[in-house]
Amino acid sequence: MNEQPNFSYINQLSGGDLAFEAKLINIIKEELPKEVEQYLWNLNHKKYQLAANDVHKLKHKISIFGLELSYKLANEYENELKAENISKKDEFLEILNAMINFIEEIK
Amino acid sequence: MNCIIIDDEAMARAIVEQFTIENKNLTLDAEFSDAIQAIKYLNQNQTDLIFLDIHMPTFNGFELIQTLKNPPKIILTTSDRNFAIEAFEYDCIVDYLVKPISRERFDKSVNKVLSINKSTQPSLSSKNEEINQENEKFLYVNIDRRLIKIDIPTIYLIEAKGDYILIKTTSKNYTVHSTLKKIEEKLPNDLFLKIHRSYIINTKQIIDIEDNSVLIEKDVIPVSRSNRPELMKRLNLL
Repeated sequence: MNEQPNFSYINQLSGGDLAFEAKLINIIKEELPKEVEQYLWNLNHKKYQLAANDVHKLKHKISIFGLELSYKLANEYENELKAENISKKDEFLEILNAMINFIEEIK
Repeated sequence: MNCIIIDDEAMARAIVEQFTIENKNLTLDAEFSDAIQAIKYLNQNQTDLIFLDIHMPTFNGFELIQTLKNPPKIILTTSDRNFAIEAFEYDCIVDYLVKPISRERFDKSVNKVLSINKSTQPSLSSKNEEINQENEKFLYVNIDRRLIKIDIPTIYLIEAKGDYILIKTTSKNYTVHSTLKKIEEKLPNDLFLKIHRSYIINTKQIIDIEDNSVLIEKDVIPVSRSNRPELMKRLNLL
């Protein structure tokens, strides 16, 4: 998937309010790794319904990073997980890695 | 409107919080990451509006609504469009915001709640006014470290006695450490009148007036010359 995470939504949301922007970025840096970790734990333990809930929550972060195509894939993957189908897990992992790498580059 | 936010995701709470701060019609009272804590809060506090996430651990948004006896207006905030039909089965749910939420969509939703409130039920502030009006019917006085409730319309006379005042009601008398000035401020102007530097009376309980005195219950109270015109104005003279 050739999408790159970006801050266009956050920039638009903050309207130039740098303090608010920093607050949101700090929350993402703190919350995203925990959510990813929880998803991976549930996936690895074959708790697919719980993993589907985790994907649901991660969809918000995906949309905040402006990843429209990834959001669509996450939506499909969430539904598939509910049916215990994990065929899109590698593609979804790529999205997660892209987001994690993106936030790790932010100082 | 007073509002609260319930969402287990910190990012989502931060965004809605910012929107509530920017919206002059909203006062954010509290936010919760956990539905149980929110239910405890709602059992003890009133709010006009809840921004409620559907997907939450332990209790989801719909289950939370079902625990509330009189739910306030609710705007759902969710990443899932699939619950829209279920959402509108609840009368209290006014709108459905799909994340990521835009400021314009948020404000539109709040305006929707405002217009519904205007046309249907009083807001929390109106309810507070009603409570205040109800409270104005009573007066609490401190006697021997106890706060005693007095029904204001039953008071017929208040007499200054040095550092104390004697409050006479149709059923009982109370001696309270206070001044006529202080109690006068607490009493409704349309009912009570100071007719002498030492007396305030309930004008509705006057039995008769003779020269410079009034008979009220069994008490004959002097009327000072300066207060007499105001007293006469209050009477429904034939």
